[in-house]
Amino acid sequence: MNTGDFRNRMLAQKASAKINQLSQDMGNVRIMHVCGTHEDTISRFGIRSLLPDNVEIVSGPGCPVCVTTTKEVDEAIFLAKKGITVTTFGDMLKVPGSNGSLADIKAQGYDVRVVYSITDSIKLAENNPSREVVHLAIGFETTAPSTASAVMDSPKNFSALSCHRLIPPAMEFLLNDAGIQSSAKVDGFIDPGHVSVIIGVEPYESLSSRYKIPQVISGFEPLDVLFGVLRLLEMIKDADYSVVNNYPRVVKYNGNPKAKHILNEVFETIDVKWRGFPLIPKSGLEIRDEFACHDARKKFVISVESDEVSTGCRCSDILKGIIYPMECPLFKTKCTPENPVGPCMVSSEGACMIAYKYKKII
Amino acid sequence: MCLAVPSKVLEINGKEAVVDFGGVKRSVRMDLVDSKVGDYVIVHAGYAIQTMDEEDAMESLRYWKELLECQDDLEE
Ligand code: SF4
Repeated sequence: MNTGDFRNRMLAQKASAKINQLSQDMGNVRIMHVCGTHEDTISRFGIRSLLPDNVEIVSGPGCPVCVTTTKEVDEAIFLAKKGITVTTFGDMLKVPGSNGSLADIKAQGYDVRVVYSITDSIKLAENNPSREVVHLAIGFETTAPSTASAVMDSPKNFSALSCHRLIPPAMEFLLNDAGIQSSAKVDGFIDPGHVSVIIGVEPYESLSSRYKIPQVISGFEPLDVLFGVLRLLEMIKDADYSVVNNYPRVVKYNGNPKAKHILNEVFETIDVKWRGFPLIPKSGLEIRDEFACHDARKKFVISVESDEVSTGCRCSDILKGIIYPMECPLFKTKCTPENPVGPCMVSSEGACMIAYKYKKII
Repeated sequence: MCLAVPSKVLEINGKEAVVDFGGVKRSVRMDLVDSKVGDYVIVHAGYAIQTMDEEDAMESLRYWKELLECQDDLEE
């Protein structure tokens, strides 16, 4: 199949012309996406430059590495310092904890390894039966089923440190927050394509009806995003507060039932803090007691005292769509991918890193 | 990061499959899908998470093209 069709320049230009025409008699429109890959597409293809001045796309809390808390990084560091092998995805390595990062302690000789998939971590545990292996498991609904599947079928010496989080509760937090609603109100959401592959359309529908907010589920090609914007403008104009699935080639109404079943079997939802956010109700996934032997927090006594160190980093405003990266005084001056001050400059899905990489974002 | 481009399933051995991702062969887990050899799958963190529906993919493009042609007609 030729996915190049979804990058067709002529169609993109026509879509942009239609967006411009449609928005002429509209006030300011703020569209939020909640996915680092959407931010990458938008910045890489210069989609903001195709939009009229009164239509903006801001990025929300859609970068899993960025919303992982200092405490969770500290927990992984604590385990590694106890002589346990800690595995995680590459982007997590440089994220600062209260006192250094996993990369720092790796440099000191502790056993921290980067894996591409949790299956690599399981293999490591199988090949080293005398070692304890803990996977620092981050990610949203897209990644959590792989952790669930691994937990169900893993050796005794493997456990997961679950830092998985759920997207719809974070969207609801933003819709409920009086400050954000008054200063940075969101008029429509571009919903994350691959989170939606798992959860389907239904979880967003109640948000649309309760908060009168239109949403479009979109894929990651430039045309997916442009048509998402176009559709949202039409919906805003028509006061159509529903959810449109613009990514039916992989998103089904019920999502992926097999993945949802495994998720539910292994995890229960709990209230958790997100970096830059307070506690968000029912937004985290904890491993159920039946699988306690594969839950690093139940298997080991982890004791950390985490401080949110004040660095001047504005990630918390970036993750709420309140400011753009270049509005942070540290952007490109004190904070660069080589010397990141905050996680949004560490992760390939972080808005600051993406803005740095593609130079301009509007 | 999400991989937007689908991978083609080349062979399946139990819960593992070999897929072609843009010309590179990769091994992925099939625990979360019921895909067959020849299907295109979306892969995330080493797991296939969905089979891509080619008919739906073509349908979206057709629909978008129609929407824009219609726009031209209106302008004429
Ligand atoms: S530029 Fe750096 S310091 Fe500023 S918000 Fe982004 S990550 Fe934080």
